[in-house]
Amino acid sequence: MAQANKSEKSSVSTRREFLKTSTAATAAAMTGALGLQRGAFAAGSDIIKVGMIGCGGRNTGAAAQAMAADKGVRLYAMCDIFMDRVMAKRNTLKKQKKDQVVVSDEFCFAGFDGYKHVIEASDAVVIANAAKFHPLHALTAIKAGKHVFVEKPHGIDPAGIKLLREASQLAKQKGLSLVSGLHSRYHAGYAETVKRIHDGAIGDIIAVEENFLRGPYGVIPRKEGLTELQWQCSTQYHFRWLSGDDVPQSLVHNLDRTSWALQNQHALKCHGLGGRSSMTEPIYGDVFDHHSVVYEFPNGVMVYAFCRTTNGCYNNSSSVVLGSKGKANITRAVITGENKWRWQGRCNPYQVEHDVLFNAIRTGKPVNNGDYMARSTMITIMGQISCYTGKEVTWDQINKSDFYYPPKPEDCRDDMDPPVKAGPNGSYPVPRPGFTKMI
Amino acid sequence: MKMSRICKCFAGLMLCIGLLAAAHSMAAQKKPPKKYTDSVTTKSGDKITFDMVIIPAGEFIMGSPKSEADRQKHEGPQHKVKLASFYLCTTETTIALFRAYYQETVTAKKDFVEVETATKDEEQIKAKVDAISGPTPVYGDMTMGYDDNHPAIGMTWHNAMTFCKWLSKKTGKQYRLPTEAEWEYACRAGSKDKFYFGNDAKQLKEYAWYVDSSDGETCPVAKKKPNAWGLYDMLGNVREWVSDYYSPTAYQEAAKKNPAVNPKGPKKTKEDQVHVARGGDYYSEAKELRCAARSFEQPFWRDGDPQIPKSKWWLPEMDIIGFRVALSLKKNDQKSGN
Repeated sequence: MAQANKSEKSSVSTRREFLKTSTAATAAAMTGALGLQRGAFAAGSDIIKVGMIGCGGRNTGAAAQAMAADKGVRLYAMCDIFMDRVMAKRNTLKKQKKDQVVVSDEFCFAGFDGYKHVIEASDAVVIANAAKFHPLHALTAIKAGKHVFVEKPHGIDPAGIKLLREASQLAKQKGLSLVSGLHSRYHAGYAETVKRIHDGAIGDIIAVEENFLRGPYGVIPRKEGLTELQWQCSTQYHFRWLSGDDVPQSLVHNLDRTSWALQNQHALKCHGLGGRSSMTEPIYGDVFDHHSVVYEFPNGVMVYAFCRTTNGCYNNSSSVVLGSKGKANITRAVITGENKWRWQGRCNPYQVEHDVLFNAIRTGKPVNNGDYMARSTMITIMGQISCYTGKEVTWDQINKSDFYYPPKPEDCRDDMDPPVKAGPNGSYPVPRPGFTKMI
Repeated sequence: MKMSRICKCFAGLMLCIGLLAAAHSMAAQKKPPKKYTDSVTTKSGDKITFDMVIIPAGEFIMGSPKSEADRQKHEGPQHKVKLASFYLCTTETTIALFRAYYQETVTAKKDFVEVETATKDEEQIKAKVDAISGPTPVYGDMTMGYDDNHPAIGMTWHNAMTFCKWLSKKTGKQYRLPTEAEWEYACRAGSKDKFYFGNDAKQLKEYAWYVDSSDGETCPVAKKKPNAWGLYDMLGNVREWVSDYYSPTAYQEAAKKNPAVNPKGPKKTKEDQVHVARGGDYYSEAKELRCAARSFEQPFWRDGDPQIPKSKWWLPEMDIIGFRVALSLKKNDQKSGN
């Protein structure tokens, strides 16, 4: 990030330009002195082979950020459910990073098992595909001795979080890096805000309000010739068995910030309300379009979390921590009340994540985000399940549960029937709070 | 009787001719209004108004003299520009108005699908097809937490252009972005100084939201003093998209004509050519608020978008960029508007 920014000096020197210096300083502090210990990696080899697991927009961005983070990165292998996506994104990336994209045809893979080949071919992998697969793919890579960047959410069910915890443990033992796409933790402004909360700037924390109210995930017209399974995979945000729905998908950022502000604590219990009332056409699959979850954290701190994916409604994206002496709005990096403060700067946390990862690989000082990855994701999973079942869910309950959305990720086959099917009217069955049982 | 009927007919005819001539001369003499208020009614029945003010036709010297402190090379050479009269909105487009557009035109189509159909879209726009393909849903909140009377923010140039098409359809008038030359001419409002009120940066606080007057956020529009032509926040608050592509040598080209008449800026010469945004923002320093200061889209404006391809519509978290709308005068009015 720092390097990229220095080269974009505009002829009108802006305040923001100048802020790059402070952002750069923060990034440097976070990453350590980049490049000092070059050669610590791969016995003198300067090349780090990176594989992409998932070829959607986010992972294409992640691959570009990996290449920007370290000149020695070579994009070496790619996979997706769909080969046309692999080909398209290889072209896109080649245009941007001609010298670093060296994916030959035999290292392009399609289908559910493509990840195995990518892991085998790579030194590090970037994973951003349907969240169902994040824990298994991360664990498989760590088992194979590869470093991992993986997007959020870091699982969609308790069984997945068990795999993720295993991956995190194993990474620690093996000295491998496991870096999370929960970008708030890598945002200099959010970090400073949370630090001030910890230092008492807003007094005792009483409650937190979390909002992610916005329009629906993009929909794509169903292409002719797709099987039902391919269709569901092509629009994965709208199917619960692939994405885990919107509490894990969207509120994981919010609830990760909550947990962070609360000294990395987990919720004790929660109750949630949710449903599907506006985006009800079959193209929106089987997910809910609105959720509200009330969490209780230690010391009686209450957390009110809301998400909605509906057009034409009030939108809001915020993380507001309410304390006895003031309020902190983390995503705006503003504190009001007795100790007014505002962070002035800018930061590209998406780039910082990769700067940190590849610096860790170079210097042989692994970074492991596993603890908060598992905790924050599990907090969202208990909230989601509470919305579906209509029941209160406790932390102990969710951790004892072996629930998973069938089939297990390792059992997915390219020729299988999808686990959910549309009824006669084209609509997919959805959970019914009060009737649905999951854990 | 007969005669008298002929007389009456003749008199009637003369009267008609007279009236027509009078009407004609009135039309020729009637000047377009100095200002007007336009409005749109949202689907939920709310009426949102905005004020347009006439910018008189004229000539001005665009750019800054070499002697001006903090001048950047691309602000020169100074050159003569001649402009026809046009209307410009007295304020930056507000969140209230931009939200009305967003809610009426938002599609759930994914960006990458649009990339595939982009060429088709352009053709449709050229053919003036009614349907406006609006933005994809913003990832998060379009308002970024700001109230309705703050400037709309975080839209790409393409999104601002699409807004103008929507506004034109809603009002029946052809709204557009001003050109860079129109913007600077309107900003100066006759002034040749650093700022439109003179050269003393200390006075900026009365006219603009910038680093020394804002609280690190955008502010409601039209709360500071306007310039001589009644335009608010031309300096500061948010940068404003104009229609021109950016080129560091744009003025060298324009200076070859003396004067440059209604210049539209450089042609697109590369795939990722960016557009100009003028006026500085709530966090700019005084030197960036000079009437001649130029800025343009920076790579970091897309840092909040972690995807590839980047959104065609949104610059997430970029609350420093907005725009205001312009309107050309009708051809007949153009002459009398002089």
